[in-house]
Amino acid sequence: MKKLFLPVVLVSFTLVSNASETSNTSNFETAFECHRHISVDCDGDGNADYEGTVRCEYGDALRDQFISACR
Amino acid sequence: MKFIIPTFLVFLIPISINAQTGIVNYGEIQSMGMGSSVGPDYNAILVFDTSNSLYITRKDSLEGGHILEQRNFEHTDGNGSSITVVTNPEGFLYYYNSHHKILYSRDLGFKYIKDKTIAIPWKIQDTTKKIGDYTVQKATAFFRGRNYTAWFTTKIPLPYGPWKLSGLPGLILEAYDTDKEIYWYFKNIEYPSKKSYLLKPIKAPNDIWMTFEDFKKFSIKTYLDAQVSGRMIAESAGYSNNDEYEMSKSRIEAFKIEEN
Repeated sequence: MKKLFLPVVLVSFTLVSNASETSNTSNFETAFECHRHISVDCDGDGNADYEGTVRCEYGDALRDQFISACR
Repeated sequence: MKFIIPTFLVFLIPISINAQTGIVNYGEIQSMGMGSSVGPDYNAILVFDTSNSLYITRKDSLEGGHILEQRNFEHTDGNGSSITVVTNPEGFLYYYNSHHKILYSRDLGFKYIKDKTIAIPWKIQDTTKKIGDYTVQKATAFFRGRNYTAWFTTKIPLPYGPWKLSGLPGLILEAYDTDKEIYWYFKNIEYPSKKSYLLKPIKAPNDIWMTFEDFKKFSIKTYLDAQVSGRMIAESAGYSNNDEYEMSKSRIEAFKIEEN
């Protein structure tokens, strides 16, 4: 009985430990997610015509979309 | 002798008028939503006499030519902004009449506004520091969505300052909001100045002026329109747009937006 109990406990511990690690990694990534705020003023009157915030990797693409929309 | 005295007075009058005029050169750093003063740095001037002041910013000639660029700025927290840095031929103008406490402006949206509601509830502190040759005193106030700190000098006991900041018992040489997302810093002063011709009232087309209440509605509408237009483009391109961006993170004046 003892021989069966020990592996069950070890497997359970490993599963809980992995679940906890996954959860921590996810929180870490969310906390440090980079955002870029894009604001484009088409007519130069000081007021933005298009505004939005996206993840940094999409920043340049969204900026170009906003500038295209001005034309 | 009767002829000599009036002639002397004629020469004296222009000298005394010139003595009342002054010019302050400021830097104006606009970093709304960036968390510190990392945004574009515009040249701005304040011309004043004992009755009126005129603040000019984002004017082509003050920058040595027209500017129109989309620039990236990195925030201190690792995020970033891409904003349009732009000037215009006339600039944004703010003309304050201290006797009537009326601010005439050519403001954002190129709107001409006659604002009779300028009354900033300054709290004057005991703290002082030096800016150039001037000892300046600290004052704080909440005004149109931001907490401001201003540094003024009673050596020039006139109630003027950059942009719409006014009403202190001395000229404001430096001012900023929390985190310096809007920051006016002192460069130099010419006082007295002979350039009284620079202090000209603003002329609105057909002398039609918008009230402050209407300007407030216009500002909120343009802000919300930009958010909606931006969201539509972002969604159609397949980017998830992070909403809930506060007005104070993109505009100097942040108004409370009423739910319909």
